[in-house]
Amino acid sequence: MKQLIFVFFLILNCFNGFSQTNTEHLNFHLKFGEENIKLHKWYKGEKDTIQFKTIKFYISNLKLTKDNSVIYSVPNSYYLINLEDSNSQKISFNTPEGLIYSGIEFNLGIDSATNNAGVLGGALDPTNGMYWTWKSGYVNTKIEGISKQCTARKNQFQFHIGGYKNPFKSFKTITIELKPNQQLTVDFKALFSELDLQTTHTIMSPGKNAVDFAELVSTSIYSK
Amino acid sequence: MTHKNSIVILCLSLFLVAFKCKEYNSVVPSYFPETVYNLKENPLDSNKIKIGRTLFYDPILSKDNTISCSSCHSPYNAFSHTDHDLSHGIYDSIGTRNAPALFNLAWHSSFMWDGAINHLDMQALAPINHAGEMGETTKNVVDKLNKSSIYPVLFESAFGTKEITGELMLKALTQFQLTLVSANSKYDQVKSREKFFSSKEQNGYKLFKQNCNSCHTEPLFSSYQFANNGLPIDSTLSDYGRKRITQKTEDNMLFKIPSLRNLSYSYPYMHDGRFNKLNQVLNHYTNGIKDSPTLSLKLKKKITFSSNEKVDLIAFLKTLDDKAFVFNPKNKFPRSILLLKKD
Repeated sequence: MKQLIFVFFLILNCFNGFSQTNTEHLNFHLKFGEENIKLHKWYKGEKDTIQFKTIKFYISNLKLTKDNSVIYSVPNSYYLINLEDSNSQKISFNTPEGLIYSGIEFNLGIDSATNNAGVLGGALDPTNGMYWTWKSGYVNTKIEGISKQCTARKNQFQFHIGGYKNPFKSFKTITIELKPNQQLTVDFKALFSELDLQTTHTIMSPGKNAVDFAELVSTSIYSK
Repeated sequence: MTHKNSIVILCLSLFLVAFKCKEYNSVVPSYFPETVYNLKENPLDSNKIKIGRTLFYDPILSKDNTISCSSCHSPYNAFSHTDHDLSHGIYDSIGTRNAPALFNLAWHSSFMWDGAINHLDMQALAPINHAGEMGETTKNVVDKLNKSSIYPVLFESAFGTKEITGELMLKALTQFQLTLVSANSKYDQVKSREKFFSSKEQNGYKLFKQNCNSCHTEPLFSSYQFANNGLPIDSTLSDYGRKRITQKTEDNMLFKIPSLRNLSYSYPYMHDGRFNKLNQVLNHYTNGIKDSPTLSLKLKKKITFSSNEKVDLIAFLKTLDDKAFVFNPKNKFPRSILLLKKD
């Protein structure tokens, strides 16, 4: 299917080869309240004091919208946002010239079709550490760190959020009003204020907990 | 590049894809169903198959370079591990399940005894990353391949790039595994009217169709679905099969139905290798079925075979042995590549 889509766009390119495209950029700011998150630095939340070891999540199926309807789907749009790699936090994509949009839609995570498609490359390559090996499926969001309030071993919390089958689909479609050159913020202070690390500190497989967690992450993303 | 050129290249590559699929179909009998694996997504190519075969036999996939895929999937055992009830892994680890035979994988819709893996491409990730099998990480294996003396050259000739990725490694492994087609047993030769069953085999075939075919469906000799075949639980393993994957009570003690091809080469039998002989297997189905809420409906009614019928049924099952597949030199250890390897 992916190849078909690719071939389709290839053909489209052959015919529209001379039409111009714009390269757009979209920044994801990983924040804890007002602060930019850095690795191994303490952040004081509403309930906990937290240090992050890993923050990685997938953004996929990017679409541009105007008046609440999709006007352009970015082909092959899979991005892995990684706290450790600042380049990954700025995603780029091409749009037809003159396209005016007022919002975006994307999946936080990887949809079922892509999960069933066999091995894929780039952001989806299994060497990126975002694919479960004991049971097929992408990890949509991986958040790991420590908190003194966390009751798990060595105070470590580990959230590996995935699942692509009903009733435990954990990828979320997010629609946000966004003008060109606006940026997106993911606020982990808001996210962790909704969590109780004494009771919820380890999610490693698909299930209701993962679905609930994915919902929390999706509500922590906004444009600025 | 001009647009005309790109259209020509596009048409040529589409033609090549069609050609490769046709080539694969030439080794597959007409009475086989459509493959589950979409060959157009990963068109077979002799250079890619060669890499897959080399990787399959190369212990570079394991943490300490001791275990290869073939350690538990030996060609002479129809790519299973004869004489071992449970799989062996790195550091003398013993696994919890019997390494299954590997053939006709293009027709499987899931992998592992519990269907944990959803696609052939992704299957190898499980043993590579399992602490008790190869104990590696995918990324580290790919790094080792990139530093090796042979693989970058092989990948360049097959994929047009020296830069090996997880995607390319897995695609190559898939390619070799797709070529493991077992379709040349006596049964197949009878199907294509080259041979005839003996009267015992013919009677066994009749018994098979009456009692076994609903799960071990012709011509692959499995529906590749999941079933509870009434095995009492082994309390030393407490393996509840597919339930671990789906968390559903109706999947308790369900395991993937294995093919009955190549049984002579792939003993012991069952997910935990509890039976060494086909007689024990038949005795299980006639006298050993343990009833439970998830027992296959097809086994609720008692199966009876006379001792003569058991002999005939086993005679039929042996017509599913595919010697040409098991001893196919194309599937063996690639001496010319791996013995020259310096690292």
